[in-house]
Amino acid sequence: MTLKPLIFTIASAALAGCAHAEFASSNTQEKFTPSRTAVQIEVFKSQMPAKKYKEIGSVVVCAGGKLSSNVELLKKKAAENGGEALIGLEQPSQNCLSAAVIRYQ
Amino acid sequence: MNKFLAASLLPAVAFVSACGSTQIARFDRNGAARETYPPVPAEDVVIYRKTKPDFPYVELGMITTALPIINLDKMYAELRKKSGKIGGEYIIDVKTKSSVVAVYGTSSSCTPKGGCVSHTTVNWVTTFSTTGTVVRRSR
Repeated sequence: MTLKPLIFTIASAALAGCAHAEFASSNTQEKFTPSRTAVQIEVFKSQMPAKKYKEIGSVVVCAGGKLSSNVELLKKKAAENGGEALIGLEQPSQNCLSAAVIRYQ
Repeated sequence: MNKFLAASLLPAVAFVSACGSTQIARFDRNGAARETYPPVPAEDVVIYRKTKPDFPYVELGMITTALPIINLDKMYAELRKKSGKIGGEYIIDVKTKSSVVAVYGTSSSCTPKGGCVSHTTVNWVTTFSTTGTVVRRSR
């Protein structure tokens, strides 16, 4: 009987693709208002932006979906927290992606 | 059956608990004469993955924290707290990765007639770790 809520939670998470995106700020004293939508967030893996920038935080997403969906989730999380681009895109594990969030100066 | 399951999971739980910790390796450059710095409030410690400070700095040590689930806020809070205690103002070159390790344990079950059997259990545990370099502005 008590297992029902647990089974329901696990099943819900599985159906949702177990998506789990997080943002942590570089500086706890600073907060940024969103200036771009998710689709406007630029992504850099091996290159660095030509413009000057400030690193404002880090994002990570762990989800069972497609790689492209996970990148979209990172961009969404970055946009929500005032980011304008992602740099240093990495794959810390098979189901996770992470990157640094920046704002242009 | 449930007792067996619980017993087989115990080593894994213990492993994760043990790994859910934060450690610092100090880079002591003066041998026994360890340099000490005034502590920095955790909330003032700045964390960068890709940015290098544009001022001269001294490396105080390497820090790592691990959790069984990925929780950036909790990991960063731990990094800030421990770095601040040794006078770190920034944590740079921060990287997060995961690893899967085998945790071995043993359990035994006995029949009502007194015969006992020992079992070896293997649990695969995923841990997420974040590492970085603790630095302070040169003065």
